[in-house]
Amino acid sequence: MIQYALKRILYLIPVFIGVTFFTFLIFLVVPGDPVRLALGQHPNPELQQKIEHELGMDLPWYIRYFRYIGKAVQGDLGTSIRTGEPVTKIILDRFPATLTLTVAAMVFAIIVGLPAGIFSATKQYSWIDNTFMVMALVGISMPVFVLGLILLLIFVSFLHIVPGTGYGDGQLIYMLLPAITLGTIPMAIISRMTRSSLLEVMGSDYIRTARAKGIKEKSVILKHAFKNAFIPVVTVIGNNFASLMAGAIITERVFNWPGIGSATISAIEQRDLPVVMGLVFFIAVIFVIVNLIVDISYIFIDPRIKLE
Amino acid sequence: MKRFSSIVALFVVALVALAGCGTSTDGGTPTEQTRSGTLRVAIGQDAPTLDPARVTDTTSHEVTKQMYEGLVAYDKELNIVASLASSWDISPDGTLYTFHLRDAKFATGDPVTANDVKWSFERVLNPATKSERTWIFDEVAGAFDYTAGKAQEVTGIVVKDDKTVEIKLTEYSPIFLHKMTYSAAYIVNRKIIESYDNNEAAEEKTEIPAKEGKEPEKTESQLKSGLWHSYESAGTGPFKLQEWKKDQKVVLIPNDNYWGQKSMVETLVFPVIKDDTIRMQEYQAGNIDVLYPIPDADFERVKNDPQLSTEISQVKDLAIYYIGFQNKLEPFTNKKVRQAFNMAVNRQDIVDKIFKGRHTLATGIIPPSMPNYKSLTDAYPYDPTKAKQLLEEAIKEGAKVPSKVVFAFNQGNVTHKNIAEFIQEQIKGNLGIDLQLESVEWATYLKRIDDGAFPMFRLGWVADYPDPDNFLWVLLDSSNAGPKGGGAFYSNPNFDKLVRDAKKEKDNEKRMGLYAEAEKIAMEDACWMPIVFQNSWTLVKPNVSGYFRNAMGPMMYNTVKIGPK
Repeated sequence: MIQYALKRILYLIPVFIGVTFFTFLIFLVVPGDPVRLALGQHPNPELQQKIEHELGMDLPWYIRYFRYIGKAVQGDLGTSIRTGEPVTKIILDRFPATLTLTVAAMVFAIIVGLPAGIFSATKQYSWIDNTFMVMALVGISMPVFVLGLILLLIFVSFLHIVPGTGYGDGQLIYMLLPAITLGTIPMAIISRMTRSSLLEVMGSDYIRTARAKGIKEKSVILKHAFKNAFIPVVTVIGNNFASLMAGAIITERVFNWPGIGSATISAIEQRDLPVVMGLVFFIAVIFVIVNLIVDISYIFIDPRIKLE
Repeated sequence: MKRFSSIVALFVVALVALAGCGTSTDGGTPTEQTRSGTLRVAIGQDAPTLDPARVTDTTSHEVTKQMYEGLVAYDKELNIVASLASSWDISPDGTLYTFHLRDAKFATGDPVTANDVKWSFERVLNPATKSERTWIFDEVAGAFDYTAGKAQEVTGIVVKDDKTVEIKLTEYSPIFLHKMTYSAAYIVNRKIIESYDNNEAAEEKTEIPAKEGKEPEKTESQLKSGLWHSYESAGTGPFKLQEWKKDQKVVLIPNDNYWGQKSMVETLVFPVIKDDTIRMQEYQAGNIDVLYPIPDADFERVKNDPQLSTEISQVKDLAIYYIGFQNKLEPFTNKKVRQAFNMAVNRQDIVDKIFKGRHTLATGIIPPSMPNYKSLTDAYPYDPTKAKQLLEEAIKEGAKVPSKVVFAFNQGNVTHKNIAEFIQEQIKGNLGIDLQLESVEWATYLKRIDDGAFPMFRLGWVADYPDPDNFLWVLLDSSNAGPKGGGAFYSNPNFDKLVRDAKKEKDNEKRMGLYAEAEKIAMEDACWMPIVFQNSWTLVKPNVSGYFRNAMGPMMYNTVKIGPK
């Protein structure tokens, strides 16, 4: 297993090189000079030159790229053109907010999605099943910003249950709406996946055998069927977790959540090149690492999976 | 099944409990918060910096303005009035300013001296500060030498005694005092900034893990010293920084050492709310007290809402939205063509139908809110017949009118597109000329305007300081054509002479007269097609009094009072 993990970690190196290279490439070909934009409509040419020199923009692109990678592996992702803050600090400041929101959203998705899926599978084609599945369909289809705005309108403007948007001072109540908004799509996917996967398993021979042995239905579902049905669900949970961690750009924007997604959007709007590069690099790292963890976790969930 | 339903029920209960918890820990309803004396002014983006020397954007300016002061400031009518300097004298030739400082103290309690003024200004000019506003001291004697490292101090800034500082200019400048109102000219407390430079305070307060010193030239310590303003303010204004949570909020508290009227609110918070819709929603939910500006999309609704319409106030900005003609490209090399275009477009329709009355029809180049200025111009009338006649005359005179004329606008704003399409339709209908619309990404757009690549383009301009010089000289003087400001590549020696003479004129009334003449020439030449003078609109809760905003931003918030809702 350790060998497998090491192998997977080694695979990450070309992935990181690819990600950074392509991000770098995008900013090379995107029209417009980021320094000029950061400095406004009529910039001071001397200052512009100075900043360009500091950023190494007067050097050939490949030297800039290798210099960037060299510093990045040492944890130095440069400094923001706009604020002068180190990019690493920007990331470290924002990441806890994204992490807590992601965890909360996934907890919501799992707590609601799993029971709904199991319930639907056991009561296939009942009105409850139909209701859950229609809700899941709506959940998957509804754009995040629409759901976010509707929730804000109901809970903030009309019912006054939630005080407003933002991070508050860390109070849980501020997390409620963004977590529900962000967790709704994964919740819908999880419930649908749980339902179909469970239905598939319920038709297999060993379940019939279990039932024939007179085991209670609840046990059949939870102990026998669910264990096997859970494997594809884990994949879904893992993948969703990874993409949510990468920053829920729209949700963070709507709820004014000071996380990675919100910082990425601001940096792009302000053409703050070092920050955008750093954030993309960080997002890629997180995405890849979470996927790795998910892959490794299969070993524990399903011993049949061979590690090759 | 019971068990499954109970899980769902449990979750619902948990949600409700969570909701209940939040309300109680939050300290109650928004009404109670308002009563506690917290003024909440939403900002659409986080301040990029709170170091006055590095402020270039309006958000940072609005926040720093509450904590810092310069030698002079603007009053409500945009006149220059005393601030940290209680008075000043100007030599007859206008090149020597003597500022007499008032007995003011920094928030720390340290007195403000002439040495602080010199140190603050030299700090801006020091390349290590990376200020983008060094140019505000361009006329100060010795400023360039100091920045270039050729001198140890700025020779033109002389400390006469503790409370008197002299500033010597290399040449007379009518806008020098305006520039002294900029954030970069705020006086800062050397003691605080240097404590971070020495890195002791920074080590304690930043969370950046210090690396083991492998690279001696490593910039980390410099970065920490550059970030002192994230943790403390170093000014004399009515407020001081309590907390700056990046991308969340800036919290200010009253400065008891302020020399003027002390704050009437307990806390001043600038919550960062990036999305227009959400900012509006938060205002309506009572979570913010001041909303500036009202998002364009909400303007009509707010105006027609019986309650919200009573909370609106208008700010006449020193800003213009115009269509530029590249005066060196066909067909706009001919004055009559430019005039014909001006007359062929019904701009009042743009004001009424596209802007829905948010802005005012532009009657010239300089907005009417310009203090002490009286314009001699009027808008070109909408007269399609006369326009057609002018175009025909121009063609007879040899003007080359291409079958298609490129009209560019920048991407990402539907208003620009709507205006472009409206003008396209009118020009086609009234002059028979096809305008080829090109929507271009902003960075490329600016570059191509600088290069003079578009025959027709749209742009806006917001004044840096309330003086006609900032419009006429910056945007239209032939020496500024191209990247320095003049995308129109307009050139008229008579205009240039008037604008340059005005720069030297010491009598303000005469100076304004010269600008009025120059503006008249530029309008007769139809160098642009001015569209609207822009207004912005603010929403202020009825229980907030004393809030005032003019074209240069809000006044200090020390006079703002929050009453019961």
